[in-house]
Amino acid sequence: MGLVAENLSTGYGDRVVAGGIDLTLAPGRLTVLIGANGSGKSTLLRTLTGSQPALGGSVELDGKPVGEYSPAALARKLSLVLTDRTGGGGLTVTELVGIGRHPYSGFLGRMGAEDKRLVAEAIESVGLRHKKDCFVASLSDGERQKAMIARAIAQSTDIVVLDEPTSFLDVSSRFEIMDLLSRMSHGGTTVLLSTHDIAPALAVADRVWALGKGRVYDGTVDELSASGALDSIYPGVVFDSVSGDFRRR
Amino acid sequence: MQNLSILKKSSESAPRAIISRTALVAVLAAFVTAVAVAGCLLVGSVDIPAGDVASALTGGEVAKEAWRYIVVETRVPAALTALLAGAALAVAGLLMQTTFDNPLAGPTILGISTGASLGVAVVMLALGGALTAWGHAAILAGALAGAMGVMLVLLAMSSVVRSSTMLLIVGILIGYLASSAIALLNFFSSRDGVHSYVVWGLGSFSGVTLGMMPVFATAVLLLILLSMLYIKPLNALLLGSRYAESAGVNLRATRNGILVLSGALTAVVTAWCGPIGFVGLIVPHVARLALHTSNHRSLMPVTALFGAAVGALCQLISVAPGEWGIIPVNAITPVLGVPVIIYIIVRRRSIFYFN
Repeated sequence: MGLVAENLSTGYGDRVVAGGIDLTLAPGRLTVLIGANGSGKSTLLRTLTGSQPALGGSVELDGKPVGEYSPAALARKLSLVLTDRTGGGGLTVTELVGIGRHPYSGFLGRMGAEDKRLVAEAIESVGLRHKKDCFVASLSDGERQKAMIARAIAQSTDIVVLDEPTSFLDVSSRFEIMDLLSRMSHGGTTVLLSTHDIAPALAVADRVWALGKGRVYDGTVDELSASGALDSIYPGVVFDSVSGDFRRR
Repeated sequence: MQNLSILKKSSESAPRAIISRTALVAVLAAFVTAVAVAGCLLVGSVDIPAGDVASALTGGEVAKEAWRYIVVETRVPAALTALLAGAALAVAGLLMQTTFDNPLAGPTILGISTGASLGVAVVMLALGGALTAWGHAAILAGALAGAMGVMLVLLAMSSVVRSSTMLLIVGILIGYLASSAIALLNFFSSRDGVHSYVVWGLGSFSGVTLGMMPVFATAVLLLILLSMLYIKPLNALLLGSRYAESAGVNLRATRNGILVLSGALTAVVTAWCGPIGFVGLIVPHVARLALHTSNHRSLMPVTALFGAAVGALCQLISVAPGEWGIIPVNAITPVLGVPVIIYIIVRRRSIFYFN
């Protein structure tokens, strides 16, 4: 059950980015995916979430290949927060978060009382209640990212996958977002995020997937630090377990 | 980027009372439409007193029998055509702008109008300008075939080209190819054929006869109604295609459905009225600015209503010279449209829905 990859190869066309990947996404935990630029973090996330086909091996979600889900069925199991530029400036925060209820709402998107309650709760949980009637365009980048996360929360999926959710954000927003994701995992949601914000992410991570040299090291921060796996994924830097961050070799 | 006054006003005093704003905008648009339609019925090349127009419509006594004919057979169909064509083009423009995530997308830009024009050019230039009843049917068929042909190419490309912007550019390129074919056809055809093609290209809402009205009206209303079924995925598409997909939208099926609908709306209007520019491009923007929202739930119906209003206004301006003749519709729409586009380009950074 949950999200399981077996002997997975990711990449485009003939070009394999990473191969022989065996991973199980820990349910109800926060997993942080780290790796150098070009190591294939986004490719792995896209493959795990069914956005792009695997080159080999399998990805199963609750016992069924992720590629066999219809978009609507997948949307009830898994929600995404992407690095894509978000449009929708002309929607209010409530309308934007309401899109998270699309997999459940009727043909014309009419929301019931339960949907509205979940949307309000999601907005509350990311601390945007005071902005709920504001246009998305008027939000700061950090607030906009929180709104996108609220949308994922409102989607009520067991799994939330986030691709670099803190890039482009200022330092305090980065910590806020990480705290928020940590709270989500404590609430029972399975959270998987890729990031370059090592220190704030590893501080809240239950597990780490370290992507380097075409393979994935899976473990807790301490395990990967002790095994030296973390020292091998970024060229020229080593992991400092005292500061919880990387430093020059 | 967000400290311009217009944005502050629009974003902070958020649309808490969105229903009343929508209602207000809709009532105003309906009023403008009604006035424009009344104008279309009262004004024309023949001077008919208002009282006679009214009795012609209600089936009462009319001073001259010819007046009844003019009102019922000419002015009423033209006004109805203007309403329906305006609404159809505006909805087509909205569908395209959201789907292609491009504020400058519209029926004329995607090459669909040009495809229809090519179809019409082939028919008209082959017939050499002799427009019999069969000729009209053939022109209609030509326009539909041309528009659908371009759309099929776009559909085929859409499975290869994932980026909506690239697809838009493909549409523009197809439009250029069709234009070149049209130029070639014009060069090799008779003077009469070229003349009737040029006249068709000027755009007119007078092409739908009372007898053809049920067909035209049914087609347009049905297509607009079907477009309303895409309100929910269109809202998701505002966030971009990947977010839409993650919200459960079947991207390919939705995009194909929307392409077919917007193409069919354009084709039907172009076949009967000629390639009418700007309406599909500007009306959705005016509707967004007036409503203060990109939410298609209110935006789409109001866009249709605004389109109808603009269509009727164009028809009124077109017949306004009275006995001096009529102004071609395509001479009017740019005058209305260009200032709106310039305003949008200049104020782009401060218009809420672009950010």
